[in-house]
Amino acid sequence: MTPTDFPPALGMLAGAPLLALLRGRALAAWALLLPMVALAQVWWLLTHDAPLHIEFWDLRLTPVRAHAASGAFAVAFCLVAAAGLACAAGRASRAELCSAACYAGGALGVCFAGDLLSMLVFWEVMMLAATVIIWCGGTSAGRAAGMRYFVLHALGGMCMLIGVVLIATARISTGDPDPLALRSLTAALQPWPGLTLESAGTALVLGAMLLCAGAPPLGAWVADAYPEASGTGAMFLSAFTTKTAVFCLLVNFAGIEALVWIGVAMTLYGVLYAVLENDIRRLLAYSIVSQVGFMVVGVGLGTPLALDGATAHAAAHIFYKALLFLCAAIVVERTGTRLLSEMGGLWRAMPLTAACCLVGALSMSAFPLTSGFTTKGMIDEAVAQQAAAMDAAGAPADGMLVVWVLLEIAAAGVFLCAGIKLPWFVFFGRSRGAVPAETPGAAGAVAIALAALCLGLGMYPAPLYALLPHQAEAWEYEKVVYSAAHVAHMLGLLAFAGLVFFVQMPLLRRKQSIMLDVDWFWRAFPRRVRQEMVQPFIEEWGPPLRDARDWLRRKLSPETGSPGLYAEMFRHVAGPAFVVIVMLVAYLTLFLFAPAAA
Amino acid sequence: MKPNHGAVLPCLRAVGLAALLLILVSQFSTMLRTHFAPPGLDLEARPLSYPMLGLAGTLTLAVLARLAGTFLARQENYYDTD
Repeated sequence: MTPTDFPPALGMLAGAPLLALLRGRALAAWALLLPMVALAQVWWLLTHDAPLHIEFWDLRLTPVRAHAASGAFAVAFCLVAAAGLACAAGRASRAELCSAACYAGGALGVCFAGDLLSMLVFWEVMMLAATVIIWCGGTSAGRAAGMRYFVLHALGGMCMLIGVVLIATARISTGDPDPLALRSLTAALQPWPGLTLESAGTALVLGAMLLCAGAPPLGAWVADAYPEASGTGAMFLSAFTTKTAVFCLLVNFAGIEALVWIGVAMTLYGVLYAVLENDIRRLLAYSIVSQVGFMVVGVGLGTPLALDGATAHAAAHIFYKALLFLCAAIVVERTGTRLLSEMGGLWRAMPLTAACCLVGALSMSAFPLTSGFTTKGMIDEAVAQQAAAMDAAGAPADGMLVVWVLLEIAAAGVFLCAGIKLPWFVFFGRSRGAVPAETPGAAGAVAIALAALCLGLGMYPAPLYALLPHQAEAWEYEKVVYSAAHVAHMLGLLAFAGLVFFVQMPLLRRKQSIMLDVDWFWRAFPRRVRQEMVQPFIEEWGPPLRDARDWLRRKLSPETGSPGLYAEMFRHVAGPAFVVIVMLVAYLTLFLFAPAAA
Repeated sequence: MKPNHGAVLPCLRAVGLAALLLILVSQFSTMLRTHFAPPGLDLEARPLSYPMLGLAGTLTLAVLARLAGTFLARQENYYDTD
């Protein structure tokens, strides 16, 4: 048996239960060893191009296949899993440790899935594991947020399942020998062919992936769910779901123009809410949306440099966001609050955490010498190149110019809200009271390692570029990444964004309040409907309706007054009948609107 | 000996201002080319275009955030009591 004979996810999934059983040093060792073994297998898979095929009900499944972008994502997933598990061992609950390993395993499974069904299965493993991690936050708010996360993502998973079935059906009807193969679905949507089985299925899969990427209007789940997990739980959550969605978008939907605009909307939405936030974890959660927006723009452009940029930025983001969530966890643990308005002056007591947080914040802001600078710049450059190419071809490039300007503004906004606001209000602002000095432990060591990685990839990005899908473009970009022009432009942009922070600080100082987001529709709206519509209706119409029900019962079973045969039948059959009617309506809709494929 | 933390922040402030000035001067450097900007914007003719973009962009974001905050802000226990 060789490492290519089973998916890397299986190793993680099989080793996860041991994390719940071991104690002390054995636990710490296994927490580090498990992701490292997975990393070794990933390396083997990347260097031995040997897909694994399985026959399943006359369909060919490919649970192991290395895609061009698998390397960067999988290596980053393994490293962050090692960092997170090392941190969580001995601190987090057994359920959280076990779920975190399954979560990482699911993400690795998606990275190496060669067919739609394997991708879906590993996707659902991730969803279940993430739900348990949120529940492990241990608060009632965490349990409620976990349930909302589960419901929303189960709906997304259902959309993806229906989409996969429709795509496979359409492919079988055209005689495709490998109907479940994971390959680009862009042609099914662009140019829009009208509503066919394949386009409907592809649109459903795209919708499910955008939901998981945190795209508006449903992206509010990121800020709703992630902050409610434990400190280490949030670290895991920040790394896997949204980045796996980016990976799937990259493999399936590269070059879909609408994604460029969706990505721009994500960057601005994330930055705007991050500026408004007073909760350190919610601020970081919104900044995930903003950073994933940059990646989605890269995927939407679909040029080799843009895809390299999306991949590289996803890998860099995994590290610096894990670092920032870890620093936030340390700070929250010591101060006992998540509110920026109740923090300040912590650098005296926590110099190590302050330095690591600063490195993470500067990486996210794409400050020179940090990992964000060497990765996010690729996406900006790809937009500029696309505008130049359109200009040279005589096509109107105004749209691309608008995209470029909005991305620059979003980049400056990221520096405003995360690069300066976060470290300033937490570590350098007015002190709000003494906290005990930090004692470097496993969390401190992991924070230093992640900060070193962020700086290392900023100063020497070659190891990351070597894992990118389009090597030629990556190496070409490496020659200009530290050109005087690029450095001076970025410094100019960020420095004056920073100036705005200090000038406008009273405007940016937050009060103890929360911001309404789209999650209002699933957190407050149903309650409002019940309070303001359903309850008054029941109070008004309840007695006459009860009278009518009793009258019906008497008619159906006149002798005894108890529910008669028909009433019993109706009670049992009503639910399934409703489901059948819904399915029939869905089928008829598809049949009527997709006559060619049907 | 106990470190004098009081002097650190003014020192940082001075370093920040000096860096800002240095960055401002660097924008006029003849080395700069708009390799990283689309051609239609003609940024090479305006050396301070990036700082201005950063300044105007973040000012707009801060003002927008302030405006949005007046509509979107709720008490912290909004979802618990609503």
